[in-house]
Amino acid sequence: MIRFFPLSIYGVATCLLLCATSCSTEPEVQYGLLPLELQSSTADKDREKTIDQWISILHADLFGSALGSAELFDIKQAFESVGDQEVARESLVASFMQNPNVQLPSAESMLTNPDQFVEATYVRFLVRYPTEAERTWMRNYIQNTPTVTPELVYSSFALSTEYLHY
Amino acid sequence: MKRRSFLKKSGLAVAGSAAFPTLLPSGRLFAASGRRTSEHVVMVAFAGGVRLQESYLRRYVDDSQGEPYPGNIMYNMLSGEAPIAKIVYGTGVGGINPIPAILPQSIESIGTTFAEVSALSAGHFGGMNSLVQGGVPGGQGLKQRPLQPTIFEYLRRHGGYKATDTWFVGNGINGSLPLLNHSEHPNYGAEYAGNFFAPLVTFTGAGESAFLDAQVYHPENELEPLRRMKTFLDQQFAADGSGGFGGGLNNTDEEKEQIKAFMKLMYQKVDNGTVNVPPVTDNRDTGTVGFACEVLSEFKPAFTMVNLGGVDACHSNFSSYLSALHRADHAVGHLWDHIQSIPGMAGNTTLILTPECGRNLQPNNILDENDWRAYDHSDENSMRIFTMMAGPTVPQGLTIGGEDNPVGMVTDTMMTVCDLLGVMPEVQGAGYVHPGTDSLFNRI
Repeated sequence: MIRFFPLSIYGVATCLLLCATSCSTEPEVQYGLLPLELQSSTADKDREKTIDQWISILHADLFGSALGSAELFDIKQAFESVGDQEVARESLVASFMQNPNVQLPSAESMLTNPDQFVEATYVRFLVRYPTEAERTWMRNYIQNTPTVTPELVYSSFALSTEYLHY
Repeated sequence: MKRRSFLKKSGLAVAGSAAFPTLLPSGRLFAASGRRTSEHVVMVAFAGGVRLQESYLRRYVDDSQGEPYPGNIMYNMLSGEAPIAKIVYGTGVGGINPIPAILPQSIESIGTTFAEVSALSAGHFGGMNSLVQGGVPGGQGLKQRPLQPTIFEYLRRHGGYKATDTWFVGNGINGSLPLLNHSEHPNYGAEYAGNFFAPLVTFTGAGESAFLDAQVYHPENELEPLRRMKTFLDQQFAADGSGGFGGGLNNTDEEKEQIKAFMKLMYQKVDNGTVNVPPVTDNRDTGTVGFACEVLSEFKPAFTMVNLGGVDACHSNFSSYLSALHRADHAVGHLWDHIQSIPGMAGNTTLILTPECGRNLQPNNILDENDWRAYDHSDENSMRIFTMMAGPTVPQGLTIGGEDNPVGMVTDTMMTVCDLLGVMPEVQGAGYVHPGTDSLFNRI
């Protein structure tokens, strides 16, 4: 004889709930980067980079590639061995500029389209657009100073106080 | 000129000079009140922990290893005969060939020796801070800048010395050594710091690969536009950029370019093998002194501090300690000899040297290749050191105090430098040095 056990109303509700929540498809999650609107303001750069950050970011900005941890360690040691850190920074930038892999625009492109060069340089080093006053001053200085080269412009940005901050 | 007009004009001149005192290059307003008696001072931190027994007391292995062979192995600094046996500190296999003396007369014979001086710390860090701050580093941790002003800051702030007038040449970058060129003190700090190189790192180690290719820019065609653009960028950026790792030491632009040109020259000299190193250069101390000689030749600083430390091998190898002690003496001999060859420094430079701490009376259990026991530094014997000085105003052939009759403290060394360079009244008035610290000239 088959015997049936009566189901309570709670048991039925539990079964329905399990059926409703099990084996549901996961929502599709996507990861990525949202475009960030660049600002022309310097007001929010109120924190100083560490020595590691400055060296690593400088390398990325000049060579378009990350610096290896062993190289970073060596450069940090070199910095520690020099008392005047301004001298150390200037020497490192001047040394990087002699590296054949440094990504420098040509002097011709700088002089052909100075506005574009100035804007790209501000974005590359200072992660912002220049103000109109900055754009005008830089353009005029580049056009009126025959000895200015992309190397010197890049060096001045890399050694600027703003570049020490983020 | 009528008397009334003269009085009026001279009164205005006096009032004007009081209201607008002379602005010195360092930015300070008034000249130091002390009397400068030496144009240049070179202070050697004869560091690493030197036992009085093997140094000033000249007992070689007689007071450490139970071997009856006393003797002097520092014959550029000290007078007296070398040991007659058990020679291990020289060159060649087993160190059997002592390095010949460089100086015709020992520092001891041409200067004043404080035979036993009291250290304030049995450790390197405390001892080095005593030498640069004139005090003990209470509350100051490792990897932290001195809390009280350093000798460099006193000289620059109160003496008006420019940045390249004060140098610290270190034998490495360990032990927070690079942090000793200035303090965190709010009234002093980086703007009064001394320049620093750890030359074996800067010129032959990691620094060589980082800085070797640095181009020295043409002053008008390249440097001027670079600086002009940087100045413009800095003007647009309102934040104060003086802090952080990127801060400078208040070197002028000309001084910075001189330092960079010096670095370039050093890389060339390293490449050519023409750095002015001592005749026997086979450890860090002798190499460091070679670059210190180059700094002296280039900058002719008013004050230079040179740090040695090879003798710290004594923790685990007594024979290596003796070898390093012999080489530290060789390095000092070369340094003094070189100073006498520098126009402008010869004849008007004072040398003063002090270990930062001593070493223990009893050995530890580590034996070296000669079955000699090693020594650490932590007991009362570690507080026994000596100080030597020589120079145009230093009495010759004079010994002050003696064994178990200590005269003076380790902190006296920096105060003596302040005395020689004319800032002692200001340093004493500032009140940051260890109580009782005085110029060694006042203890003679």
